[in-house]
Order: sequence, then structure tokens, then C-alpha cells
Amino acid sequence: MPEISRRAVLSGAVLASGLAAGAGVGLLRPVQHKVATPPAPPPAALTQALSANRTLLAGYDRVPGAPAGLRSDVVAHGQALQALLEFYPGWRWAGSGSSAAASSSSSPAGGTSAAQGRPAADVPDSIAGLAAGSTRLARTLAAAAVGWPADEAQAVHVVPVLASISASLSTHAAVLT
Amino acid sequence: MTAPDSSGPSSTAGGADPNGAAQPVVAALQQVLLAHHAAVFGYPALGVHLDQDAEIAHARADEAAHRLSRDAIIDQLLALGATADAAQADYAPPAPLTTASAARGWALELEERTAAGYRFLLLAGVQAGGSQQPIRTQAMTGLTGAAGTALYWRRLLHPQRPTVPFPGT
Repeated sequence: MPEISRRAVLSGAVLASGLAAGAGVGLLRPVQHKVATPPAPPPAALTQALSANRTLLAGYDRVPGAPAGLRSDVVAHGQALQALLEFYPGWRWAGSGSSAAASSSSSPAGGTSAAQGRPAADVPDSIAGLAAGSTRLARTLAAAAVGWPADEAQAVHVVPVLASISASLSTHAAVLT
Repeated sequence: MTAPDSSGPSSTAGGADPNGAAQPVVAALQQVLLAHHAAVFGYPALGVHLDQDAEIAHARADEAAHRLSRDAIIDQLLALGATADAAQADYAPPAPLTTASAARGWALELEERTAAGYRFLLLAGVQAGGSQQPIRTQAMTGLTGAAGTALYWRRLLHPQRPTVPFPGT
């Protein structure tokens, strides 16, 4: 029978106790898995603007004799607003059916959410209604363009577009009135 | 007729900024000023080619509005410690000025240029950061006003398509 030295016994004991301590810590310590957090929702001012844009567009489709040129402007406005929303990863997240939606807490302009910019119920049904809707949205967007926080990540992209859409809608109101 | 910046730019100057944050705003105000200089030159030149009384009256009112805005922006630049750029000796119309239609086209171009200047000012207000709300309000008012005036001339030139989706671009 081979002779076992005292050094070998001690080394083995140290190794065994180290392994036991490590296993104990590993078993007792709470495991922290990385949890996927949803991306921040887009500013509510943008989703609300898209919602109002779609309401206006629905009005153009509803009102007989509504100027086609103005309608095509409104279509372009909607595309531009959607392009702005693409800057915010939370926009796609909200669109995927999760519970995440635009929140007023993250909104530079405040207000309630309008997830995915669905048209509201009050679709204009007359030329006067289209004019009023254009004026209302123009004012809202002008206020957003002026008040948008300069340090917001996408401000340099968002503000000029909101301003141009607002100015365009002001001319729409003049044409429709 | 809407004055491009009826809110009174001189009353909305952000004040001298020792940190240089106003530099983008000063540069943008110079752009707006150049647009007003061109309009103050252009309207009298194009006005003699217009043949409708209403259009002539509109052109005169537009010129007066641009003149007021020009003077106010010069004051605003001085208040910011900058020197206002001088007008050029001459401004060329986009097309030979031989007909009323060409005159209307130039008027439209002048207003579109003004709208672009104010849109640039709005962006500069954002880029300058901090509290530039008065500048941004001034820019928004100017952009909307120029878009409205452009509508008048575009309606005469293109009655079927009198608006654009993104004024100032």
C-alpha cells in the first residue's frame, strides 16, 4: 500500500474545503438573471400627433369634395411623423402588442398617450371640420416645436419637422376656410 | 397678409451669451436677415410686373412686413453683440422678370427662402440648448407667417396645388 505523505493529505484537505466553500456560496447566493427591460416609450406628443393626423386623414376620406392636394400633404405628414417615431425603439415595442405604450411621463409635451397613433373617434365630417382639425393640430404641433426639450435625444430631428407640419396645416386651414 | 415675425423679434432677443451658446442663433438670424434683405429688394422690383391691383397691394404689404422684420432682426443682432450682415447690391430672380407670372414666381421664392430661414433659426434654437424659448417662438411665428404668404403666391401660380407638406424645406 503506497505511503501517503502529510503534505498530500493537507493539500487535499485544503482543496476539498475550498471546493466545499465555493459550492456553498454558489448554492446560497441568489441568482440574478438579466431581465429584458422594455425600451422607453416614444414621447406621447408624437403618438398623439400621429393619432390626430390619422383622424384628419380619415376626415379627408369621409368628406366629399375634400381637396386631394391637401389630403396628399396629410399623408406625407403621417409618414414623416412615423419616421420620427422610428427613432424611438419603444415605438416598435408598443406596436408589437406589449403593454408598453407612450406615457405622459416621458413626453416632452405632456398629455395622455395615444398608442400607435390610431385615429380618434371624432373624425371630421365636413370641410369646416377639416379646417378646425387642421387648425387644432397646427397649434398643438407649434406648441410642441417651441417647447420640446433641447436636450431630448432626437430634438434636432423632431422639432423642425413638427414646425413644418404645423406651418403646412395652417395653410390648409386657410385654404379650407 | 401676415408679417413673417409679427411678434417683434427685437423684443424676443435672448440676450448676449458669454458662453457662446448664442452663436448658432446669431448665424441663423443672419440667414433670416439675408432672406428679408432679398425680399425688401425683390418686392419693389417684381411689383412693377404685376398686373392685378390686389396682387400689387399684397406685394406692397409683403414688402412692408419684410422691411419691419429686417429692421427688427438688425436690432436683435446688435443686442446680441453681433454685426448685422449688409444687403447685397443686387438679387437675381429665379427666372427672367418679363411677365406677371415670373413676378409671382419670384415672390413665392422670396417667401420660401424666408420660411427656410426661420426653420433654420428654430433648429439653431434647439442646438443652442438651454432656454431659447423666445427664439423658438419667434422662429415658429416667422415660419408660419412666411408659409401663409407663400400660400397667396402659390395659389396664383398653382391653383390646383397651393400648399406644400413641409414649408421651409
